[in-house]
Amino acid sequence: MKPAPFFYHAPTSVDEAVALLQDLQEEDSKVLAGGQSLMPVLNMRLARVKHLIDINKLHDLDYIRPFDGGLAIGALTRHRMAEHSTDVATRAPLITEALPLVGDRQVRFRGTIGGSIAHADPVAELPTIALALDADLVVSKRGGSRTVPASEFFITFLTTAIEDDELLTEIRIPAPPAHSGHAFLELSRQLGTYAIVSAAAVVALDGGRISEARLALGGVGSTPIRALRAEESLRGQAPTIEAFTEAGRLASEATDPSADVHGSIEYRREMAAVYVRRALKVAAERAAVA
Amino acid sequence: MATSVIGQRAPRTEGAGKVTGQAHYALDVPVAGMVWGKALRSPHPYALIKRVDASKARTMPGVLAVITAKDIRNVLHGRRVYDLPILAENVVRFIGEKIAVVAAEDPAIAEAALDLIEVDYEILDPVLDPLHAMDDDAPVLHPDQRSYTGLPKIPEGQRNAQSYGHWEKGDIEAGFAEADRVFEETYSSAMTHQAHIEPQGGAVWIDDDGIIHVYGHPKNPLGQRKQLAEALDVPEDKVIYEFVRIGGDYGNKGGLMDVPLCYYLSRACGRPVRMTHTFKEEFMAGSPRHPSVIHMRTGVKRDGTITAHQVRSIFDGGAYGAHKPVPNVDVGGARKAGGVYRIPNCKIESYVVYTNHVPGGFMRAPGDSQTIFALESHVDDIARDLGIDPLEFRRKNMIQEGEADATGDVWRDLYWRQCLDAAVAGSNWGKPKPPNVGRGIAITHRHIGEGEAESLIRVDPSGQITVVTGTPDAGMGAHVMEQQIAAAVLTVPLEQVTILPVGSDIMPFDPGLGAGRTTHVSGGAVNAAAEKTRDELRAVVAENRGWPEDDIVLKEGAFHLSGSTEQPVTLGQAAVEAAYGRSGPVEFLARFDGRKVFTELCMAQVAEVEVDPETGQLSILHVSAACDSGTIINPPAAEGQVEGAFVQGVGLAMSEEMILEDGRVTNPSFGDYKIPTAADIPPFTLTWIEDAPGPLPFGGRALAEHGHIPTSPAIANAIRDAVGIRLKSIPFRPEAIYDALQAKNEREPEGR
Repeated sequence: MKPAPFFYHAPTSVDEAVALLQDLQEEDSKVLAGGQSLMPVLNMRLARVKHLIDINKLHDLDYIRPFDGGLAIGALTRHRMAEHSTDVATRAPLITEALPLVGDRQVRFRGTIGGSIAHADPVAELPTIALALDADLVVSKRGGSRTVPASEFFITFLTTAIEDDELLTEIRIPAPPAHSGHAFLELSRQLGTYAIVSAAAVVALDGGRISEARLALGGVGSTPIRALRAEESLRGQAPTIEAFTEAGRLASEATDPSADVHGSIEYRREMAAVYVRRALKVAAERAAVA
Repeated sequence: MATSVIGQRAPRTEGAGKVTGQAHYALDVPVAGMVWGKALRSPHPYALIKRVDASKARTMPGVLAVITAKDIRNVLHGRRVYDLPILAENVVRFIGEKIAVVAAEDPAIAEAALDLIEVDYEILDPVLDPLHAMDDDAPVLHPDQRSYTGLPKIPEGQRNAQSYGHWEKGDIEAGFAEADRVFEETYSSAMTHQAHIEPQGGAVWIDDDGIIHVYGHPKNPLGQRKQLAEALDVPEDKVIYEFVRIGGDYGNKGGLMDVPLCYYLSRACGRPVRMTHTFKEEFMAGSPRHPSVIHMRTGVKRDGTITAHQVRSIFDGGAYGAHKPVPNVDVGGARKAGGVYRIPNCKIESYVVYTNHVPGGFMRAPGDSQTIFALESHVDDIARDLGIDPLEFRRKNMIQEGEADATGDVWRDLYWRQCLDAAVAGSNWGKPKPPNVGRGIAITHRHIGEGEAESLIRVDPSGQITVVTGTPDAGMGAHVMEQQIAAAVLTVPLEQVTILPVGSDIMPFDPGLGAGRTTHVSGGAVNAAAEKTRDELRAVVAENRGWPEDDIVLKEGAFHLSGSTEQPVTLGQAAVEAAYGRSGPVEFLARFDGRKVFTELCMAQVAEVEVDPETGQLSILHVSAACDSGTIINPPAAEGQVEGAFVQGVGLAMSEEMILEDGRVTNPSFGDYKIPTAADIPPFTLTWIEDAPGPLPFGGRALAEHGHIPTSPAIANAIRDAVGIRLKSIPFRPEAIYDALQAKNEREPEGR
């Protein structure tokens, strides 16, 4: 099928794009990046828009660069570029680990890092990763920009803190903690399909004890979730299976999944506990040799 | 005879056209002025239609025609039983049943017009459980059933039976009395879609002479022409099923689907009209594989000898039987419930039942995958519970050449034991295995499709051979197969044989695709026509030169007089001579009768899986398969058939399932209906038993139908071997495996 008619805009600069967003904010408009989620929805006419603002000409937003010990990733960076970036591999290896699970290769050549995060699908990989990495999301509007921490960015299903006149322009990833390891594990019916449950973990060790743990889960609520009580339970603990199992239990309690054809509520809860435990174990093993 | 082109990896005759986009399918034939038709479909599984008012739609700008049941000769039609109206008139029996159609210049206008058609329904309680449908208090969905044309034999008084099958041998009660143990279990399978890339559709153009040109899915062009002519009440020669490519069939496309509606819309608006299913419509109103509930009860001796086997199979046939092409209106696989085994006392009963679900149709070896999943799971449990190696159990009970199977049929040319042994040899069966890894065997037998066909071969003065063919192309390589057979018989290079596919108006008789018959029957006809060409041209050469016919050999495309230095006569020269010494061409038509075949095929598979006991995640590590192929004419086509079927088998086992809630398919897209992707397919070892002569040209055997049948039971048996649980329903969702593991841990807290 083809989408219903819309007005098409193709700004060539961020200034032009945010000006358009401001001008059109009272109207029904949508930003098109890689189009990997938006175009099927429009083509199947599950959604209609009056204005489509295509940001693919904003080449200035296609970059990966070191930033403050961590990384700054332009919103229009394609998944495939990030997947093969050595900067990403050294400074945010959780992203490198998760990206092969995003869609398929064709999707990753078109899909963008910013698009995935702004789409805010709770079963997708990158929103969960952004949360686990304590990313900052830079959103721009006419005359300025602001930074929103990932923990405040995801409001509910497919809804973020981006206002109608704002555009996500950059994803900032802080430097990984010293002596840390990471893991991203996902349960899905098939490779490349949405997660039934995913777990992203970062574990830092200090003197054989866990100095910091960060845990985010996908597929178990209307947004990706941080498992803060589970993180808290690990601080100062030795990296044992018992500690990870307890963290898995606490993380599972923090979930609020809904049932669909791929898994019941109970199954997602139980799998959340298993995947958190497994992700923590892998992350801690990697931290031990980091 | 030179047969060097047999076994060549020859490229598809249509391959270049397909990959460059030149090939025409139903919807991209360039007919000027084509407009779109769209259908209004029932949102209710079962309701009376009290009123249909299309007046607003008729006056909408851009709308060219609107058709309701009252506007046409709304007959019941079908491939065998005529139980399906062209449009619903007084009652709708499934979600997706068509009530009205609109033609417009633009499909969006047609869709918008559908919203303006008002329908008042009186909603009735639907019948959604096939077992309940058979109860005496269930609503009767087809009260006029006894008046239907093509009605199969069904027991009096049985509610909502679409069809019935019954096979009995020996004395079942005596058999159970003899048994040391009796095993009893029920298995089930999901409704699945054929998942062809091209959805069902069609286009109709009525020319100035009133000839109805159909661009559909000509899987059986002459049969479809007959169906359509009858439904429209026009002479058959007023209908032409034009030759177009078919984007995958797998059994689904032999009916009329929307073609009669394209005709009526075209007649009403004076323009060619095309309709095509969206994939949502394909899922809600196609003709999917029947879900099943199969109960098996089997008596055995302690040593594994089977004494009695009783089966009752219920298939959910949905709202209409019209899509099923066989006289019994059933799914043939039901009678295979005894499998490859020696069973002296057997009773099989099978029902296809009317419900308010989407009507079922045929999909690759209809009934076989459901029945063999049940049987091969069941015998595996019997063997393991008796403490007998499942391989040895199968070897012990497998019938031999000349023995009767469970229904009394006697098969010949059996290579079943060789297939089983080869599949096992290609696997790790019997070797040590890590924890949570298991291996399972399954085996099936399968007949060869039968029928008659004709083929027409033309020889030009240049020596170019043209095979005028009515054999459809659904993607399996039929035309290169025909090219190779003709080239082999006439001893010419492949380039010297042109395949000319034609429509139903001029094609020689062809029975169409189905039941794995194409190479056997249509290929057999090409073989016969090529032999006739050779023999008749040889006779002309002999007569014109006074050469003894028996001393003439055809090699490298020319007739040679053996042991002489006489100038050989090319096929082209012989053709000129045959055409009264003028220029030619000359044509030869021959018929092949492939109706009585007793060769029974085999497909054996051994799957190795690993189960994650904490999550229920299932990984297929490897599958080894073996089948008795006989001579292979085109290896890539042969591999494509068996490997492609295997992929479908993985889908049946792992993920494919049309989920039904309140009569509605809740996952009508490939986003939620999961077919396997390349990443889901495990390493697959395929062993051909080529030294197994069969009735196909050059000693081949059919390959199309059975590659997927043993896959799901082999995986189920491997799961039991790995973690000790028995899954009785396909597909195997990870959550189902998880739940079964939890239940087992509760039963046996100490572990296995």
